[in-house]
Amino acid sequence: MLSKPKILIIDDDRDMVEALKIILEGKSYIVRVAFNGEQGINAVKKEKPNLIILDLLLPGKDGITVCRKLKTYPEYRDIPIIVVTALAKKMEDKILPEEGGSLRVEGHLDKPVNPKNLINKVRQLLKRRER
Amino acid sequence: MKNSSTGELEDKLEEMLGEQFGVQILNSMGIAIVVVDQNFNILWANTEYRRVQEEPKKPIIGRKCYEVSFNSKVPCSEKICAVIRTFKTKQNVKGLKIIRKEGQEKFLDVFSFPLYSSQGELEYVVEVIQDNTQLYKLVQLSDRLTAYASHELKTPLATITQLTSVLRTVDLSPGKRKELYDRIISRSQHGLKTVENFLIYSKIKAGELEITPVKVNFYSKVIKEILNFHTGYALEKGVKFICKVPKNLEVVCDPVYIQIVYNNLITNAIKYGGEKVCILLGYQGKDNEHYYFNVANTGESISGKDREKIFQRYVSKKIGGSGIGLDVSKELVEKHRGKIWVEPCYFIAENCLQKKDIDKLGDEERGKLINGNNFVFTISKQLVK
Repeated sequence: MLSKPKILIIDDDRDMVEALKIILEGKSYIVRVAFNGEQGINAVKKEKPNLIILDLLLPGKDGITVCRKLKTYPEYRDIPIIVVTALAKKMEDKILPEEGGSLRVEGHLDKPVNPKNLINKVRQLLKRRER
Repeated sequence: MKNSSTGELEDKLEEMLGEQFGVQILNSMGIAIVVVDQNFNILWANTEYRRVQEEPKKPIIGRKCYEVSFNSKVPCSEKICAVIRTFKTKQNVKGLKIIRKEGQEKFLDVFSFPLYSSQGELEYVVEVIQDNTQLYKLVQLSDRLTAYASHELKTPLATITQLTSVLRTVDLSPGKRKELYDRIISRSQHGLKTVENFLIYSKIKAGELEITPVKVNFYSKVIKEILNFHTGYALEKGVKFICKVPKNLEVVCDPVYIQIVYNNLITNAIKYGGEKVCILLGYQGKDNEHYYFNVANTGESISGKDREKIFQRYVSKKIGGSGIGLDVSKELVEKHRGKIWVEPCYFIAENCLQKKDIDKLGDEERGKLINGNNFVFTISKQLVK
């Protein structure tokens, strides 16, 4: 990958977005943001990011709907998605595996995100995609 | 056959329990009692049992207990049936029976005891059933509330932790650091408001909520403070506030609690009103009894059937909502001897119109209307400071 990888954050919590943006920009990634599901899908089409960080509880189209929708487009279905959520662990266990087959989420981190874990996960997924 | 069995059993019960505890007493008790044989035939049941099964009129003696309870043709599994376990183990057994009929659920605590013949054979099982539906439902609701409370508190705490970890680990300019500190302070304050709602809620539940009415300048003691609290956070989200509350209006109320009502309504408007929501804080005048205030916002209209429901305890029509904010607001308004309701409204420029107003508009103006919701609440003019 010659140009800097572009990462799209879709989360309605602007403070969280700002924090994640600072962490990612600190590692020279280009960051784009969207604050609801609809904006997120439009941003994917416009920006064609290399990776998406997605919250599940979003106003309007929720994260699961966004994920499902993106995976139906041949041109976007291979963009790795990391789900980042503040849902309690127990609820995540209920939501993610249940939906997992069709969601095909590539990564999952609990909020607050450990910056090191985030960067490691991002690097790992981008590297995998390069192969 | 049925009659003689029942009669014999009643004799046996009377013999066992003594004269002062007759079948009449068993019938008057608020717990259901049934006696079944090894083939699950009901030999005797008291009045409460018939009520619990919702078949007070139908004859149930001689029918299978699983048929009466579950409308089933086959016995229940050993796992869920206390009677089977008692016949098998000859021990007292405790269980839970859940009856689902016509979309309603009943939660019945079941205790079953072996009943021996004079020859010492295990002949019958006595099942004592207590309808604890209300208790189980309260536990379910309480679990849901705990889950909501945890989530509502986890969200700001997770964000504060995230911002703090960035401040600690990333080299930032002084301006950026200040911005992050401001965000942390703002999120902490919003988290505190959430806790405040839960504290008020627990006061309501304990019947300890009292208001302290004082005569205040409504704009400076309520509106101005609530606008200051929300403006910074809301500006970033593109929220537009329109305030039409007169600056010289004096009202007797508890300003702290009325601020909480406003905070809940504004928080919902920001949360669910979408991007660039327009929020109007209005004053709709007064009559002999009440002052009328409103908080209207642009956004998807709440459907007719949901307009009543959203003020009920724990009911949230939105993902990520606890359903507690509007319930608390309703209680606080009622403490001010007022009412709260929501009606559809229509925004045109900075004006919020009701359905009756838009009939007078021309086609061009109608085309510019933006849907919204208008939350109206009243405060009694009779409150004494």
